[in-house]
Amino acid sequence: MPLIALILLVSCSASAQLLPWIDLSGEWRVCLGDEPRFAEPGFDDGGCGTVRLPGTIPVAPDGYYWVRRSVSLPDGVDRAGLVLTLGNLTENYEVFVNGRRIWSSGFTARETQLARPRMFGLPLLEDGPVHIAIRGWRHRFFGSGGSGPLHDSGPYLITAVPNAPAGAGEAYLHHLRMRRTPDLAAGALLLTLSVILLLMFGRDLSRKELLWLAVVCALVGWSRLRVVLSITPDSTPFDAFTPRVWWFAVPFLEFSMAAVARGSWAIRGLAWPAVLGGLLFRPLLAPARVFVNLLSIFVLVRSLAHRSQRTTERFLVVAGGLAVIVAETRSMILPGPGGGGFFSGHFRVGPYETNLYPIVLAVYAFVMVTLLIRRLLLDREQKQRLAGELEAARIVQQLLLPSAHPAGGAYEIDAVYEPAQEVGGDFYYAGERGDGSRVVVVGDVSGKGLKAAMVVSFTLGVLDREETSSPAGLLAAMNTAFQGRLGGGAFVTCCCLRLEPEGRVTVASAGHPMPYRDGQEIGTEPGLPLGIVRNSEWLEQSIALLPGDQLTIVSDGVVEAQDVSGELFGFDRSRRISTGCARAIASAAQAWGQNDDITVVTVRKG
Amino acid sequence: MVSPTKARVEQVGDLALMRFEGDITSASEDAVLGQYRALPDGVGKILLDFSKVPYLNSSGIALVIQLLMAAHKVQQQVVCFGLSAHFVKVFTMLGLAKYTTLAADETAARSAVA
Repeated sequence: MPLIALILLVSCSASAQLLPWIDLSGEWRVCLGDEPRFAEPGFDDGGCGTVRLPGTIPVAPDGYYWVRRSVSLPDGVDRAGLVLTLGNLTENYEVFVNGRRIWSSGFTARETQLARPRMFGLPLLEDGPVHIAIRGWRHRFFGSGGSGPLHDSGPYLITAVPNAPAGAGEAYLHHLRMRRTPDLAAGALLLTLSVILLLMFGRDLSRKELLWLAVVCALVGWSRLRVVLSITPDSTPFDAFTPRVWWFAVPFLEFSMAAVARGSWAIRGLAWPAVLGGLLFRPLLAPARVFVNLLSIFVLVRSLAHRSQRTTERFLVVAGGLAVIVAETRSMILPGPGGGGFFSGHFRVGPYETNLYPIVLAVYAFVMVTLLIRRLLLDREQKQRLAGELEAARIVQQLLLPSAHPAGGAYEIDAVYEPAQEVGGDFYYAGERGDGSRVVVVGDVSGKGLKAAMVVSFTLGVLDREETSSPAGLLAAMNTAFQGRLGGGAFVTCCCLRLEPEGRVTVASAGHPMPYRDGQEIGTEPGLPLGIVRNSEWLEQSIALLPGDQLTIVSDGVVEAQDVSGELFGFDRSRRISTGCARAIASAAQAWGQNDDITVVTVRKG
Repeated sequence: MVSPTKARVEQVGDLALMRFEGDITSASEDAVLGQYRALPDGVGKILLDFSKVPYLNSSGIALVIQLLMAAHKVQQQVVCFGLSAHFVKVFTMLGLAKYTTLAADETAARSAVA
């Protein structure tokens, strides 16, 4: 080649310009259906329709369409290193340039891409017009009449690589994520509510409806979060939008309703077999689910009409669950995110869009949690009220029991009372009698707590009214008073003593632990406890106390104190420490392991 | 720690042997009185096996007393065996010897009703 020609060739090459851009927006030819010849540059498309891009591309019933146009590049531009940018087309498509396929997404459902703007590097283009053809396919899941979840706003360009609109796809994905913000919020709220419901179920394991509702919230919440988290350049809409997870959420919701709604045996009996049967034979799953949903709706509507469901809380629980099931059924019968409007299930509010179902579920779960928290607060108030009443009962009981050190007379009496709970069933009494003697009574109502304490109050009243100083007589009086009053097989053990000034002591026992005299058991005649047999009788026996002698009467709370290994304090230990003061004896039993009311009364002859 | 009460009844002719296992407390009504009430008519002798009962609290003793009173009313003979020394003393203190015989073991109990 002559040198001049070579220089000219080099000069011409050095002067080839970068293509700024050619805007491909505007009219494109469109052919509905699948016509592979549409890709050929020479194909006569005169009989085809037109569509403006960016815009909505109509789709044939089989889901296929072709769009094409030709464009001429300016003279002198570098035809290598060009980039084609296409807007928000459908999820599956192929790109042909001058009859040659340069890109394909694949045309199976699993290869469906998230619709977004894309850029394609072009091969070295020969001289002449550039023919661009696009073969598209829209999966029936997305319905017809749309070209992606968002309105297509392009761009449609051919540019040189340095001038390509960088980040167009990412900008679109960001916009898509922002648009699905309600799903993000609903998902986060549902997962939070799921945790709260699980914690509440942990406090009361009998409330299975909380567990089922927690599962529903977790499943739907996670599926909503995935909708947003799955918006990536390589994601597949089926990963994000598939309703698989939802299909198992509503059966759990139906179980939740079955725990509170009347007539729910039908739901319990049919929901799981229908779902499991559908899992085994997939084509049956959708009809089975719709059938169970419709059955649940019928049962729940009837339940709402029944009188027993008309507490506010129960009504809200059932009505809310019904609303969710209706929303889900509607979305199953009329699938697809296409279209808008409140009742379509999929709707847009300003720049945001979401589906009706998770919104309804989130509101329902929020109402449920609010009702549960309200109930918890009411329960706590009631517990505080009960605690206050118990404290008041304890104070009253302390007032009713005589002072720990009844003073005066020939005897020194000491008493210690340690209830196992706020109030207890042990009692002691010391009172003067008309014959100059003093009576001391120590008793134990079977059982513990408020019920036993009420019997104690009653018993002290009986003792106050009785004038006899006979221990057996006092036992008989109390026994008569108890007949028909104790209930539930309860009884009262009791030890009565009459203390005469000169030192004579008369004892009668109704099933009570034997008193001790200076560390030795006084062998009292055994006798039935009070309140069991109407005309029981008890035998008395008398002893003579010398100055300094000590009698000790304990309740079975001392003898049956139990350590961590289960060993009882026992009669032997009780006898060995019985010469000590009342406080020391009670403290020893408490230190061993108190599991019943402890009462110790000591009587020392002065 | 309180373990729940289990009860088992073995019956031969007019003799019913009620075996208890676990602590006897207020929660043992079904095991004690429920089993007693389920005994068929015609049972005239009842053995109560406490050999696997480590503890009876006052509410549990109340249940046993109700059983003894009910049996006494219909003239059923009741023998208790297997009680620890502590509860033998408690049963004695409660004056229950009039309503039941306290035996050391099952052999002695069976002999008492033979």
